[in-house]
Amino acid sequence: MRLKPEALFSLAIIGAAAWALLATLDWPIKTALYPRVIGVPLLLLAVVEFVLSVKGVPAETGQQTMDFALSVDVEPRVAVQRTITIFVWIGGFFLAIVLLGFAVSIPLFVFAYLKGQAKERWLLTLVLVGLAWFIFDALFVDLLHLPFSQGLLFRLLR
Amino acid sequence: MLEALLQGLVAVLQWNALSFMLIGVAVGFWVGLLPGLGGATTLALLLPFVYNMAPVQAFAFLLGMHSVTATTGDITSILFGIPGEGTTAASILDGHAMAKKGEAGRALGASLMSSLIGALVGALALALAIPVVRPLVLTFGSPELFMVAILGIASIASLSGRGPRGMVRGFLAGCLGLFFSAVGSDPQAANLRYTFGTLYLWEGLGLVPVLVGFFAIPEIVDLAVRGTSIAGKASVGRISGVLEGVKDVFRHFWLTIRCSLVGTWIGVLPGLGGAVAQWMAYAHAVQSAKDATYRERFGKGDVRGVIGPGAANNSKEGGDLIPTVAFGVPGSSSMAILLGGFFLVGLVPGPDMLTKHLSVTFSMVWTIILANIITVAASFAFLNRLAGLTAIRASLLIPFLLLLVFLGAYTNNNNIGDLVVMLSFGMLGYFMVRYRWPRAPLVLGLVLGDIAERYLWISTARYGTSWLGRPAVLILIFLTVLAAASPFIQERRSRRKEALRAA
Amino acid sequence: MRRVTAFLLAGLLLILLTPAYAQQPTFAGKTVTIIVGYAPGGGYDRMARMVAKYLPKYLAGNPTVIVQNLPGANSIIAANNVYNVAKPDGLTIGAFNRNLVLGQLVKVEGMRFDMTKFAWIGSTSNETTVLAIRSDLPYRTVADLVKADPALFIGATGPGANTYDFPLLLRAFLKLNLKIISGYPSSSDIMLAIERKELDGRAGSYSSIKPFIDRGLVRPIMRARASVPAIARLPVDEDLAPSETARAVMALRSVPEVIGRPFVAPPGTPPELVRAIREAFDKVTKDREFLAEAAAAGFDIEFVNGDEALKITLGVLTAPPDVVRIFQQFFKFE
Repeated sequence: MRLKPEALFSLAIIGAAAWALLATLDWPIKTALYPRVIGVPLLLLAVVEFVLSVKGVPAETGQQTMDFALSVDVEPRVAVQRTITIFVWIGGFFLAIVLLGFAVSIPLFVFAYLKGQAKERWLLTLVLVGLAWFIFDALFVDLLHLPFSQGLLFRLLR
Repeated sequence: MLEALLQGLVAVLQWNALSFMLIGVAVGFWVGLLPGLGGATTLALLLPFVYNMAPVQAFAFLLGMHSVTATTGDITSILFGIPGEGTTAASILDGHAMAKKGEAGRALGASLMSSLIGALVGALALALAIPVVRPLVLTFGSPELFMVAILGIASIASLSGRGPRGMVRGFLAGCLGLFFSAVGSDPQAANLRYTFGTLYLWEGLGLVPVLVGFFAIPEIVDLAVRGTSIAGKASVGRISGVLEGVKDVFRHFWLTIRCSLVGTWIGVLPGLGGAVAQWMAYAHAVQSAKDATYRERFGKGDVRGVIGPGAANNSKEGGDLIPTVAFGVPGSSSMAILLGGFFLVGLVPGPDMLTKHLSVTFSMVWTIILANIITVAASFAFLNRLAGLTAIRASLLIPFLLLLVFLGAYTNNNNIGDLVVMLSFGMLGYFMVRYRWPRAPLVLGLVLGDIAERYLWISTARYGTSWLGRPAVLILIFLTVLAAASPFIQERRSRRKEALRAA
Repeated sequence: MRRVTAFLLAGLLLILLTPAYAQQPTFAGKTVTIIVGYAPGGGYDRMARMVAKYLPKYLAGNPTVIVQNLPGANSIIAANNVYNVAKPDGLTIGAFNRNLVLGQLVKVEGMRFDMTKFAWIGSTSNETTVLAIRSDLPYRTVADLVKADPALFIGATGPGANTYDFPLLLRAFLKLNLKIISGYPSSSDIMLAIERKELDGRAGSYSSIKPFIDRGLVRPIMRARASVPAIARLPVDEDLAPSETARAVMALRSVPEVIGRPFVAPPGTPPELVRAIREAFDKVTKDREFLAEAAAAGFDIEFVNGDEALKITLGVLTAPPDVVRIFQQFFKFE
């Protein structure tokens, strides 16, 4: 039987809750009480949710959540592809920051996204890269003195 | 008293105090707009400048800055779905949904107007509270604080979807939030919980990276998927939209006032933290919906969901100041820093502020009022241009939104861990939206869990079980039952209405 | 212009007259960074910012001095960074939690530094702990508190903070009749609970309790070793200790408070640079304007030189094992 992704999500929560409860076993009561009191209903509710999503309770009653819904007017195949693409960009930005540091990654990312993904014109791209750099350098570095650590690569090379 | 009130006004209107206030407001304006950069941190950075200032000038400067951050923070939340401040995340749910419908102008109009009214109510509360401040603050002991947290947690019920499945998911999300608040060193024995051997998680999950990732990442992903501007095909409302939003506030005037009072009240209570007020107000707005069909509109661009938090996060400023001024005991981290400002200008907060230095206290009231009037007026001037930002195409906006999200999260602890937390909660938020789990209960759980845990231990250690019989606790228990039952009452009402229609 | 010329001349004279200062390093055109282990707004941060404001005046070449915050794990993250990552070029100074040395003593995981290997600049002020109780209670002396009935409710934040550890030791060794109610989010929440008579008193740093003593809400009963003139006459916990071990355990808790606002540089910072920075700190803490501003901010300034601070640190880390064992039962670095 193949599980729906929705059921997998609640399965992941079940796993996390079970692990979290097990972790409390070695703790003194003052530390463990709160996570246990919360963890038990968390686990039970996750199991109920898992069962309900496997059984496939009708969508109408499950659908009404007070939160925004992802857009549906894009063709599903395109939507999946675009979702993966943006997550790759986000992950790439993070990796770049870890490896190269903020100072290099910011102009690099803005440039790569505008030129590589959005296919913007050169002039606009360069102006926006300049703007991004300015926001970073003037505000966060010069004015606020935030410590931005060097990228991992530079530290390894040193 | 009246004399001091006027003296306070005159003092604030002196040209040097007024110009310090304008500088403060200008700083606060940008601090609010930029995600991550918070009012409390900025207060700390500005503190060294007030040494040598006269008290009225110093507070015009500091409070002028701080009291407008929530106002402009709402703007970022509404336009981009990125919380401009930790205290303005609740405005995203309905405010940004409105922006996506092309109603950014209306949402901003409603938010600014409700912010202004909220600020006025908070300031008024501060002024009126002065004679009764002692009983007001002192009746709330640890058991009552615990019950307030429980009242907030019970509101999860109304923030969940309809039907049993909706409730299951709502409470699941709420438990998840309560659970996340357990991360870090525990308040009783100082043992580490769920820190995965990292130093970063010792102090728990930072609210800013959590909120920024949790709300902004799903919106950015959705924006990339749609490939259009934020407002999409909807034409971005012109000035009429803004006026409509302003009118909305007066259409729901009592809601605005009630949410302002909620905000003030949460502000007065110490230790609840700035992030709680907006969510309690949001929950209150939802609970006051007439029936289930009205309730269902929340989260999808209902203007009442903008008005509630908008009013509350500004009115809490006045409430926050009450224990700080009257007892020298700050009710939030911002106020703890402001307390440093009191000492720097040679004032000792406490009973003296209500007698000898009453005019200084009133100058604070006036500062909150004037700073908010100035900010709201200035924002209205730019409103159309701001709303126009939602018409920019996604490909240009996305790199800048991500830049703000990453830098905003990083300002929490200046640690790569901030980015990991932001991304993890971004993923979690995305899946929750995707599989239709409500996100609001999780945040409510996260901001209230720690308070509930601490004050339950304290209440029990101090009073045994006798605290359960305290009158204020009993009232709060009653309110809690009411809050938990409200969605069911709403459900019955709408069923009765349907039955009537069918008959 | 004239000022610059005068300054240059004075500098020249100095070089000519005192050969020892011939190698006086200059910081001209450079940026000195003070890394604080806490977020902006707390006591450590405020002290660092005040020092940063006056330091350029007293460092050769008048460099820019900035403050960076690296919060997390009670400043272990910042200490790890200054110890392992920062260059020992005299341009980085760390301002950390005074209790890091106790953390090292009880071997807290994740500490990747040795407090004795830092290049110690010194401490700008001490931070003493007092026990204060509500003024409307009839108790006035330590003996009264031993006999107090029912037990006094003492508010605390949690293990590892002086609000908790100090009364814990008083109860254990001096038999004070205290019941510690722990878990308050911050010391100001404890103060409010005292105001509403939920609590009878609290321990905490004197500087934070002082306004409430002045206002008559609470009255100080006793203090720990570090002191300022205003409370010098209060009884000291260690003096009342029933045994040598008890005294040693109390001393371990108290000693870091003598160097309450420690400043250090990365290990291996050249001695002449350390000396120059130490001298600058010494002069800052004697600057009249600085002292006035510090007083307004509620700090009692008393500079303890780096050598002395290092000696105190070594003293803590060489405590006899049996004392450390007992200390560990009471103390948790958090």
